[in-house]
Amino acid sequence: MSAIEITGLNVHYGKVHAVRDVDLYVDQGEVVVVVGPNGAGKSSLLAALSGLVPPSSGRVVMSGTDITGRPAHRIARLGLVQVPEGRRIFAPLTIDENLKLGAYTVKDRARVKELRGTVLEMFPILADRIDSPAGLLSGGEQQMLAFGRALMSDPHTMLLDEPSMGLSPALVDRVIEAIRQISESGLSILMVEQNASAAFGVANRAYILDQGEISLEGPVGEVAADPRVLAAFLGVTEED
Amino acid sequence: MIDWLAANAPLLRNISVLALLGYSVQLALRAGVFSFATVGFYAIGGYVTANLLKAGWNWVAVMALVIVVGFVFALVISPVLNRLRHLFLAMATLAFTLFIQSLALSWATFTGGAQGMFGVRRVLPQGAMIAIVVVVVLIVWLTQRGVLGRATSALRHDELLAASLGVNVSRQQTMAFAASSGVGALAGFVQVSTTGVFGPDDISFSTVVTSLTVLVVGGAIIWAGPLVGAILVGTLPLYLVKAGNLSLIIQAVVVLAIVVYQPEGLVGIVKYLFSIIRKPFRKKPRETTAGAPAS
Amino acid sequence: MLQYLVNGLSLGAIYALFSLGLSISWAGLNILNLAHGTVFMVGALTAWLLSEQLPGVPFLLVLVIAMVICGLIGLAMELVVFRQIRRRTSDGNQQTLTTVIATVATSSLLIAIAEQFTGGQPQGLSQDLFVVSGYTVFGIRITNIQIAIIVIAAVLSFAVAWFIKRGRQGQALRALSVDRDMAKLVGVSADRLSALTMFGAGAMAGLAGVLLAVQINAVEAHMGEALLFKAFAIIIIAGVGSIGATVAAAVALALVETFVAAYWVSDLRDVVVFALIILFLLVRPQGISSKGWQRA
Ligand SMILES: Nc1ncnc2c1ncn2[C@@H]1O[C@H](COP(=O)(O)OP(=O)(O)OP(=O)(O)O)[C@@H](O)[C@H]1O
Ligand SMILES: [Mg+2]
Repeated sequence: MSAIEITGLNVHYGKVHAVRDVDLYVDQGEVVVVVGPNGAGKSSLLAALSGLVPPSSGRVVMSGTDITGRPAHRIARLGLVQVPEGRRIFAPLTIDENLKLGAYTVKDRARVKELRGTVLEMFPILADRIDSPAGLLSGGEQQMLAFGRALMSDPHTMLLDEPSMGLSPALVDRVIEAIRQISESGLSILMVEQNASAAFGVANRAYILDQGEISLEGPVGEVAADPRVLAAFLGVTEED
Repeated sequence: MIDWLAANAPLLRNISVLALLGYSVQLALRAGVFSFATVGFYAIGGYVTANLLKAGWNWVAVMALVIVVGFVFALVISPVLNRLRHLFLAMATLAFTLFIQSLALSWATFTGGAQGMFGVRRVLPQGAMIAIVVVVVLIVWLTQRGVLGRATSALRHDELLAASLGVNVSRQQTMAFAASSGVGALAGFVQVSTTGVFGPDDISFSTVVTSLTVLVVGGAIIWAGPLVGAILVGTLPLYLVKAGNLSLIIQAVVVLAIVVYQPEGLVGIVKYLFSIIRKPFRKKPRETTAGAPAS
Repeated sequence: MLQYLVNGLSLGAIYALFSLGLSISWAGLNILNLAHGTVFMVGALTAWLLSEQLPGVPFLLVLVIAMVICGLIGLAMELVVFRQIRRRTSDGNQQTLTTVIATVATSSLLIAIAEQFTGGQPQGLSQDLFVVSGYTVFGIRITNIQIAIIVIAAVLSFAVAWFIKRGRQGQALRALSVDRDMAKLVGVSADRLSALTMFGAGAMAGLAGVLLAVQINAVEAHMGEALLFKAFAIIIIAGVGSIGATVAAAVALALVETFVAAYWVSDLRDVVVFALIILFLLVRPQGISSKGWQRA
């Protein structure tokens, strides 16, 4: 059973057709990356999965449960968590409060404590400043907090929207390392990126999204070797 | 025509004052200024007019002075308001109006206290009253077109964007607020110089509601909105008098329904209907989503 | 002198109960509820109607019924008006403005309904509803209703402050205030929490309405407007959403008013309040121009 299975998904904003007939799946424990340029519809795809935007047609099935059109907070309770574009931490709240909110759906207090321990171990920087407002963290630290907050919900599937955005190359490596770690703990991950080279490093399979449509899909090795991808996303031209 | 005008003098007077109140709110709103100060300036205009007319002033001079008073007063308080945005501005301007209301009750030597002012000379000729409204409508219409219109519209949607397009945000908004206040005070002048009375009841919270009703029913942003709204709000009560207090309830429910379901007001509905009627004649029919008109 | 302190304190307690709901729904939901004063009036009206229709009805029951009714009005506003506007308008500016206008319309609706009952006249509250008795301690006269008001307001203020700071739903509300969509993504039911907030704000306004009606022994359809003006001043002084500062500002404002009326000219009370509004707008515009819960 796939962690996520999308069939014929469409998203409209008024007259804008942002996602067109997308079919996509993520198997249990897999890391899948969707690569596309600005405005390709990557965030819209994730928003339709997590319930922030109602799809105009199509089906979204999560571990065998049809979640199409369910409200976001319900979907979150089913173990799907999203780390959105631009991190969106709750800036005025403390790091501790951000983490607590991450675990909003977890009822078992002992489990929350356990999760908190794991997260703080994974991102020690958060432990050092646990009671300071999250808005004072640097961009990279905020990305760690966003990961930590997402992990606090004890999810089985994680959606990542451009986690490397706005980070220095060193920090991008750190983020990719974190994703690898999270994946090894057994989570299924669907990540969308513009920065293809970084993303291809951790992913099992890749999709290319262009103007709302999937134009190419397959194992990372194959997709990365495609001349169109080389030219458009990896900065390599055919003459080389 | 003349007969009809004479016979319907109270109705026309009502519509004129309502329209001026509606335009006063609109002038501020369309530049992104959430101002509830209109009724406060209406009160100032009304009481100043009552006092000056009683002192024997000529009405043209009073009118000019009232507009200037509204303008200047607005410019004086705008440095305070300029730093405020959205809800804070709404709150501060409403506080201003509530304060003026309270002042009108306690400053009896100037306002007549709870009784208000009465027996003021009713000097404004009907023709002049209509001319005033026409001029205000024209000004609103003209300033909604061209470069100025686009600048104000940008202000309403996104101040940062407007600033980046070279619009002087704070000056434009100050001017919009001053214009709004001037027209609000002018409404007070028209009310007093045609009815001869003015008191706390004229400037109560229900006037705030009425001014917003006029705006919302017609269409908050479209230039014709307040005029259409004023005609409706001015005439409907004639048919609803039998309903008594119920008419107030009906009015409130209608406003709520419009605000929630048809924020573009009646003018918006009419425009939408036109767009449906015209659609079959378009050369290239475009794909549209069913339901509400595109905003 | 001390006498005025007691009177000012009980007035301040009413102001606090009233302002807290206004401030929280603003901070959490970005709603400036101009019908809040009218909801307060409905609380008072409920007490009057109950005491007229059911002579001898227990005061505590009246208090609870009024709170539930006012809470339900808040809830209805959220369900029928605010939620619909949120669904239909995506432009933030327009949403905020439309919501404010809708609260004004709601307010006039409630006033019109109230006038059906009061006939547009001020009504006296039956003395049997709550037998006011006074005590004299060290030469200061204090009534049982004043004690009740002060105690209730103090307890509720602490409860609200705890709820916002430490409570699970309070934390969720602060998250909602910062980023509504993100709050949904962590599993917060934004709709339910908004409904809960509007219910709570309404119930507290209703409570304040009953208490003030008993203290001044009068009910009138427009009685909420003056209070709205005071609450504006309090919010401008305290900042939106800060519970402790709101309570402190409420008490301070009530004391200032009481002393101005006692030692100076009663009619100048509102002038002083307005002067305070202008003063605070001038000295700390930054402090209030960003919403309290959204500052890092
Ligand atoms: N709320 C919205 N209302 C209207 N149109 C929208 C909305 N959100 C996105 N769009 C439009 O949908 C299309 C896809 O946008 P989306 O944000 O999904 O792209 P993206 O691939 O995430 O881009 P980026 O790399 O810049 O984040 C764009 O044309 C965008 O303008
Ligand atoms: Mg995106």
